[in-house]
Amino acid sequence: MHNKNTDVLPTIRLNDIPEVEVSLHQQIGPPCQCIVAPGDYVRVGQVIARSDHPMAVPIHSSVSGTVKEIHHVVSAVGEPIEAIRIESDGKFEYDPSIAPPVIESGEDFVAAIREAGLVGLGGAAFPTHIKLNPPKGKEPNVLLVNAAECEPYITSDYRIICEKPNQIIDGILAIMKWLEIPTAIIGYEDNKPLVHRIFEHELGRRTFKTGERHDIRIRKLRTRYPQGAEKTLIYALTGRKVPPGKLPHDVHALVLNVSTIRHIGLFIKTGIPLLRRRVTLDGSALNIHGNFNVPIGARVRDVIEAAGGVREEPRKVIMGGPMMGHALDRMECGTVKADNAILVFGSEETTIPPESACIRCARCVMSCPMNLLPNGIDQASRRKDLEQLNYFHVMDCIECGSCTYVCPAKRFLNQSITDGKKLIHSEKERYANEQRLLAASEKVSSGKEKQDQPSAE
Amino acid sequence: MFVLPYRLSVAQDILIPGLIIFGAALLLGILIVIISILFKVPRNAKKEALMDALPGANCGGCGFAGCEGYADYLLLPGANTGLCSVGGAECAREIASILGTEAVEPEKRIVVLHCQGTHDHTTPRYEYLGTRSCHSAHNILGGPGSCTYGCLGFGDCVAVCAFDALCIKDGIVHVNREKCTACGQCVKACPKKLLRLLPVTATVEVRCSNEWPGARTRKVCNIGCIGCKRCVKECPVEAISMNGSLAVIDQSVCIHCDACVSVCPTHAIARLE
Repeated sequence: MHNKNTDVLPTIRLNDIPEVEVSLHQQIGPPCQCIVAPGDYVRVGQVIARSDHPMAVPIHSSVSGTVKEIHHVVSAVGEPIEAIRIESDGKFEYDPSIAPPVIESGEDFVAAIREAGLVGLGGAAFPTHIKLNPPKGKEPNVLLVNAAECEPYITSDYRIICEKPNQIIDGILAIMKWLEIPTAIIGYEDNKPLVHRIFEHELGRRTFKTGERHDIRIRKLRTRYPQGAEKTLIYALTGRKVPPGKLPHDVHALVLNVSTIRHIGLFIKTGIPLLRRRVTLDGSALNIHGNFNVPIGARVRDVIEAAGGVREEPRKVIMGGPMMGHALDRMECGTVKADNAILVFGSEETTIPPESACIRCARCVMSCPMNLLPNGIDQASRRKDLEQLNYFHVMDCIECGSCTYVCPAKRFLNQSITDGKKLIHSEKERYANEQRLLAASEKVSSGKEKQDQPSAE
Repeated sequence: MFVLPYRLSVAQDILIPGLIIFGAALLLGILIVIISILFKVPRNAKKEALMDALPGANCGGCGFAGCEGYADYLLLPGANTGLCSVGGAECAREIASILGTEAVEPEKRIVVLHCQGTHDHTTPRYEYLGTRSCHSAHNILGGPGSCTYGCLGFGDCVAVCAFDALCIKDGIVHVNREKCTACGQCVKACPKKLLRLLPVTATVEVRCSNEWPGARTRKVCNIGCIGCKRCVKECPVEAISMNGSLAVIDQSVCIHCDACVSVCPTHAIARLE
C-alpha cells in the first residue's frame, strides 16, 4: 500500500467535541441562509441553514446543543463566510422528525437526496442531487462507484468499505432502481485487495427480487495517482473520454464516491442526513494516527486534541490529502462536508527544496493525467500570457499535483498553474463587467435618443 | 610550423574565390537597393520627430503600447499631448511644438505605497515557501502577512519598474521620489492595489489600506488605521472622510497643515518624503 498508514485501524467515533463551527458554504454554488437564531436549542439532524438556489443543499446540525452565535469567519481556503457556532451538550439527541423518506419516483428520490444535504464527499463538494438529475438526453447508462481512494495517507473511504458495505450496496441499488441505470461498476485500486472480497461477500448473501436491477461489477484498477479523478476513472472503467469542458453525463456516466453512496444508503433506510464523516488523521506530529468519525463542523484543533493530541509543534496542517488538500493558516476553522483527512506534519516532513530552473526533462508532461504540458502552462502563467494559457488548455488542469511531485527541478508547477487559472477567471470577470457596463451605457444612450426624438418632433 | 596539404596557387585559390564572393555581395547589395526603392514605406516626418521627442522608455504609462503607440495616437486630430508622465512638461511642450498645438502639461504625480507594515509592525500568519511573487502569495489565503491588506514584499512592482525607482526594505516597498516617473506600471502589478498615484504636491496620506474595524486592525498591525476619526475632527478644511473604518484624504482639498499627522494615534497618517 503506497504511503497509507491507517488502513487497518478501525474508525473511532469522536463525540468529545465542545462546540462546532458549521460553515454556511459547504458546497459548490452560493452559500445557504441561516434559519436558527442565537440561543435556540438544536438537535442532531435538525436543518439549520438552507437556500432556494437549485445548487444548494440544506445544512444540518451535527450536535445537539445551543446556538451561540452566527458570525463572520474566514474559511479554511481563505474566503470570508458566515458560520454558526453551536455549543454541544454532549447528549447527541436526535431530532424526532428524522424518518426514512417516502420515495415513489425518480423525482422523489432526487428531492429526498437533496434534503439529506449530500455533496460529493470525495473532496469536490459538488451537490449530489445535481449529479443525479442530468439534463434530458444525457441520462447515465452506467454508475461508476469511485472506491479508488488514490491519494496518499487517506483511508477514510477504505474504512467505510470495510465497516459499512451493506449500506454502500443499499445506496448503489437505490440509485440503480430510481435512475434506471442497468449497470454499476465499483472501481478500486489493486493495493486494496480486500475491497473485492468484501463486496463479493456482501452481494453473495443478498437475494434479489425478480426484475430488480443488480448488475454490480467489481473492477480492479492499477494503483496510480490520480486514478480516482473523475475523468481518469471514467476512462479506466469504461474507455469513454470526457471532452475538455464537458461533464461525465456528456458520456452517459454517473460517478459517485463510495462515501457519498454510503450516505445515500444510510439516508434511504433511516432518514439520517449527512451529519458526520470519517476523517483520516495522520502525519508525523500526531500522537495517535487513525480514522475518526467526527461531527461536521468540529474545529480542527478540537478533533486533533480529542484524537490524542500532538507530540510536537505542528509545522504544517493540511485539510484533505497531501496532493489535493490545502494547508491551513490556523487550526480554529471548522471541518466541512468535503474534508476526508487532516494531516499534521512536523518539521521533518515539511522541508521544501528551493526552486530551480526547468531542465526540460518532460517528466511533468509524462505524469499529467489530463495530457497537458505543465511546463508550458507554468511559463505562460509566470509571464501572465493569457493567450498561451488558453492555448495550453490551463482550465483542464485538475490540480492533482503530479507534475510538481515528479519535477526534479522542484518547480512549483501546481502553484503557478493555479495562479494561471485564477488569472483567467479574473480576466473573464473583468471582461463580463466591461460588457455589462458597455451594455448599460448603450441602454442609457439609446434611452436618451428615444427621449430626444419626441421633443424634436 | 604547420604544413599545407598542397601547394598554394595565388590565382586559383585566393583570387578567384575572392572575386566570386565579392561579385555575389555586389549583386545582393544592388538587389537590396532595388527592393528598398520598390517597396519603400512612406515615412511620416512628424511621427519621426515625435518618436525623438518621447522618452523612449516604452513603459506604457500613457495607456498605449509603448512610445510608438502614443506617437501614432498623437497624429490623430485633437489628441491629448499631456499623457506622457515620464517626459513631463518639457516633453509635452516639445510634442505641442511639433504638432503646432497648445501644450497640455501632464499633472505631476508620484506613486505612494498605502502600507507601512514593515517587519517591526506586523507578524507573519504562516510561513510561505512557494513562488517568490506577490501575485502567487496573494492567491494563497491572501498572503502570509498578519494583515491581508498589507504589502507582501515579494517585489512584483520592482520587477516591472523600468526606472529603478522601487526597492524592497523590511518587507515593504520603498519609492525613490527622484526616480519615480508615475508611469503606473507598478500600480497595475500590485495584487493588493496598494500603490496609487498621488499629485506630487501631496504632503500627507493615510498610509494604510486596512478596512477592518479598529480592534481587528490593531491585532494584526500596530501602525494601521483604526478608524478613530480623530483626523476627521481635527482637519480644518474637511479634507478627510471615512471609508468604513479607514480614513481617506482628499488631496485636492488638503492644505498641508499636518494637523492630522500630529493627532493620529497609530501614525498611520504620515508625511510623504
